Amino acid sequence: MSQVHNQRATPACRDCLHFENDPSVIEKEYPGLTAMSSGFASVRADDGLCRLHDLYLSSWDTCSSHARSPA
Amino acid sequence: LRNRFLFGQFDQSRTVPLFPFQDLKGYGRPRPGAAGARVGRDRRLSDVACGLTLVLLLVWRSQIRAIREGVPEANGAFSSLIWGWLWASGTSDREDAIPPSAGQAQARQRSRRLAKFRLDTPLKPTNHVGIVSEVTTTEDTVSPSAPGWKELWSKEDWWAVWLGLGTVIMAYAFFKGGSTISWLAVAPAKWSTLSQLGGQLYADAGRYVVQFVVFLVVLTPAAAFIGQKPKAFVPSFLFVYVLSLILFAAGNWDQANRYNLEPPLLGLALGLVISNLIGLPKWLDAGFRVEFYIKVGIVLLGATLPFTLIIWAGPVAIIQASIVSIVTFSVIFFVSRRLGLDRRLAAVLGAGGAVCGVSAAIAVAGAVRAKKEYAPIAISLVVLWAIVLIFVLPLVSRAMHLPAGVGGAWIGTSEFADAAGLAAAQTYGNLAGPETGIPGTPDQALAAYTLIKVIGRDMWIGIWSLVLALIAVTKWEKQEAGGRVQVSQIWWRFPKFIIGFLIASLLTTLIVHAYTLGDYNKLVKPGLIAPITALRTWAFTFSFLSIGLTTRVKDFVSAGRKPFLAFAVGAIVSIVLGFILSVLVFGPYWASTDL
Repeated sequence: MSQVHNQRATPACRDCLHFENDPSVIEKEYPGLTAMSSGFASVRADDGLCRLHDLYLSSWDTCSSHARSPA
Repeated sequence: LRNRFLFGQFDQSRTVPLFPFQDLKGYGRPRPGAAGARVGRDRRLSDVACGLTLVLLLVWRSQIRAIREGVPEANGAFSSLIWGWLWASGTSDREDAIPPSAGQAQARQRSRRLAKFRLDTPLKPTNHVGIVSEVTTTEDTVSPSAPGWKELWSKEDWWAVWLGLGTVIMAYAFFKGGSTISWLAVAPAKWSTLSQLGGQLYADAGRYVVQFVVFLVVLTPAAAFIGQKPKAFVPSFLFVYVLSLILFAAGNWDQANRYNLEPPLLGLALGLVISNLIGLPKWLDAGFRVEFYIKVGIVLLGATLPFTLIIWAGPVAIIQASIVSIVTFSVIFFVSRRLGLDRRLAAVLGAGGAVCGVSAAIAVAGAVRAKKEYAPIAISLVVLWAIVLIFVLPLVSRAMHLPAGVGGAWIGTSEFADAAGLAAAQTYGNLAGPETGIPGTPDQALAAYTLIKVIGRDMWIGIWSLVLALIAVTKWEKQEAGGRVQVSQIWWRFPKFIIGFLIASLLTTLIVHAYTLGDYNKLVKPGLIAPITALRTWAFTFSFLSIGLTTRVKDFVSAGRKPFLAFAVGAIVSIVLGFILSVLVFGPYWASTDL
C-alpha cells in the first residue's frame, strides 16, 4: 500500500531536470494532440514527459532519480 | 425536483424553454392548480436565485480544499468573479486580505514547519523504475514552483473565459448605451445567386475588414500568451478567416441543404484536403487552434442559454452522460485487459472513449503515469472515430428524422471531442426545418449537445483523473510504477472555460429577465443576443476548419490491432447506448421545445 504523507517531503517532478512540460514541446511530441485538444488546455494541468523513464506523468509526482533543475 | 423544492409539489407539465429565451412569456406562466406558486418575474428570479445559490455552494465546497492547498486561483480569482470582489478588491495578497480559518492557519503553520524539514528529507523507497508511490493528503501544499496565478494567462481555457465574457460585457455595454455590436458581428446572409452574394460581400467589405482587425487585435495577444508567435499567428489567422468567410457564405446558399454543404462538414473536408493533399508549412499551425476557438464559442454559447435551463436540465444531462461514460469506460477497459493490453493504456483508451476524447486521454495519461507512447495511441483512435462520427451521426439522425434536440443529445452522448461534437450537432441542427421534415431548431441541437457534453461529461474529467490515479497508486503500483495522487487535481484539471460558460449564461439571464417577451423580441434579441450568436458561429467555424487543417494522417501513430479493437467495441457500445438513452428513454424530454 502506498504511503500517505506530505508532498513537501520529497521534491516534485516539476522541478526535475528530466521533466519536460512545456505545452509547445508536448504538442510537438504528440502531433495529433492539437487536432481535437491542446497542450495549453487546463485538463492537462502541468503534466509532462519524464525523459529518463519515458513516462507521461503529473508534475507533482516524484522519484529517486530526481535531479533538481538549475532553473 | 426543483418544482418540488420551490413549490411543494411535482408537476410534470411544468416546462422550460429549451432554446434561447424562446418562450419567456410561457416560462413565467402560472401552472393550473398551483395555488400560491410564484409567477412571472418573481418565479424567474427565484429560479435564478436557486441556481446561483447552488453554484455558489458548489464553488465554495471546491474552494475550501483548493484554498488550503494554496492554489492561488482559488484564493482570489474565481471567488472574486462570483462574489463580486467582496473580499479581494484592493488587495494583492489574499492571505492578508482574508482572515484564515482555524484549519487554514493550522495548515499554514504545518507548511512552514515542513518547509525546513523538506530540504533534508531522504527520498522515499521506490519501485523498479524509481517512481515513489504516495497519496498526498488534503492538508498538503503544492511546491513553491506550482503554476498558480500563471494559469490565468498561460492556459487557453482562461483566455476563452476572458475573451468570451469580455465580448458579452462589451455587447451589453453597447446595448445599454442604446447601441449594438451588430455592425461588428457581420456575417454573410442567405443568398441564391452569385451576384447576390458578391453584392452583399461588396457592400459589407468595410465591416469585414474591421471585424478581421478586431479579431486580430483580440486574439493575437491571447495566442501569444499561449505560446504562439504573433508573426506566425497573424498570417495564419488571415488564412483561417478568409476560408471561414467562404464557408460561412457557402452555408448560407439557399441550396446548401440540398447538397449537404453544411459549413462544419465543408470546413472539415476542406481542411483535411488542404492539410493532407496539398500541405501547409508547419509554422501556419499557429492560427489553427481548434480547442481555443471552440472554448471561446462555448462561452459565447452560454450567453444564449438561460441559466435556469442549465440548472433544470443539467441533472438529466449528467445522469445520461454518466451512464454512458461509465459503461463505455468499463467496456473499453475490460476488453483491453482481455486482449492483454497494459492497464494504463486501457485506462487512457477508456477515458478517451468515455469522457471527453483527446483531452480526457491526455489528462488520464498524466494521472496514471502512462508510458510516453500510450497517449498518441489514444489520440489517433479518438480523432479517427470522432471524424467518422461527425459525418455518421448527423447522417443517421437525418435518416431517422430525429428531432433536432434528440439528435443533439445523441451526439453529445456518443461523440468524443468537443469540437467534433459541435461540428456534428451544428450540422444536424442546420438541417432542421420544413424542407427536411426534421422537427426543431438549430439552437435546440446545440443546447442539448452542450448540456450533455459540457455539463454531463467534460466537467467530470478531474474526478475521473483522481479516481484512476488513486487506483493506479493503490492497486497497480504493486507491480508497476507508482506516483502521487493530489486531490487538488480536481481543480487543476477542471476545464475552466465551463466557468465562463456558466457565468455568461447567468449574466444574460439576469439581463433578459428585466424585459417582457415583446421587448425581448424587439430589442434584446436583435441588439444583444443575435450579434453574440453571430460571433459564436464565427468562433465555431474557425474551429471546424482548424480540425481539418490540423488532422494530418501521417502524424498519427499506428494504434495497433488490439487497441483499435478495444476502442471500436467501446465506441459501438457508446453509440448504441447513447441512442437508447437519447431517443428511447429521454427522447420526449430532448425533443420538446419547452422541455
